[in-house]
Amino acid sequence: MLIKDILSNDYVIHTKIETLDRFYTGVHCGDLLSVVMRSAIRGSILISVIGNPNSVAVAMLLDLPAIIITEGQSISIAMIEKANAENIALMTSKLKSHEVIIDLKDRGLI
Amino acid sequence: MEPSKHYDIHPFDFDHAGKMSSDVKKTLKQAGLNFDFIKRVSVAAYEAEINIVIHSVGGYADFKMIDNVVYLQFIDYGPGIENIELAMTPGYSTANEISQLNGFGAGMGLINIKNSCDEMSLLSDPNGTVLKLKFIMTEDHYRVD
Repeated sequence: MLIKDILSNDYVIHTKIETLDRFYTGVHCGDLLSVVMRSAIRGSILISVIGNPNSVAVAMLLDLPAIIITEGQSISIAMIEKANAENIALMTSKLKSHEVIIDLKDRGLI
Repeated sequence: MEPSKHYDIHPFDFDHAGKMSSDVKKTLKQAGLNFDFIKRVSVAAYEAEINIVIHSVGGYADFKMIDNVVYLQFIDYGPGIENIELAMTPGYSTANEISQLNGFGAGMGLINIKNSCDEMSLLSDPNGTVLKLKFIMTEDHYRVD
């Protein structure tokens, strides 16, 4: 499925529009990046509260096409720039991480 | 000429951590290696970079590819790992709050490194830590994905 299918009023996209044209295969939810690196599957969307460039670095290493930062956590300009440079879609949401998963499941997106 | 690169790593510089692993990933991709092999090398590189960022006063890393082997070396200038056996225990961490807010300090870094590489050596005293990693490439590691 395409990243752009996810967009609704609950999500704000911060990266360039082209990043939404990538495909994803599932989601991985986690805040401990070592655990994410161990377990996330290539092609998954990372759902996390860690709104800093490290999440982008991990997404890049694992070929994760998108990141959703949850609970209204702020993100830095450095994070947006890094995500744009790596063509990774970066979104924020006021929803909690588990609520994002429920929302995507309810809409048939995972 | 065999690829060989050097990277400086600075304490608590979370914004630039990952430069080496990102670069290594690109180099291995250009060399035609497959995703699983590249992931093993770059995840180990990233964990080791982060360890220097979090725990040391600074250091550096070297990447070399000779014949069928990728070598990574990470050296920092202290204060060293007090108890290596304990540091290798899953869940054990001495990372501070800043590191945890950055998504680290789960006590999984050295375990991830060990599980990713084919050979690992770790030496540490108060003057610094030396981590050497070896990844052996076989025909199966070349790209089919």
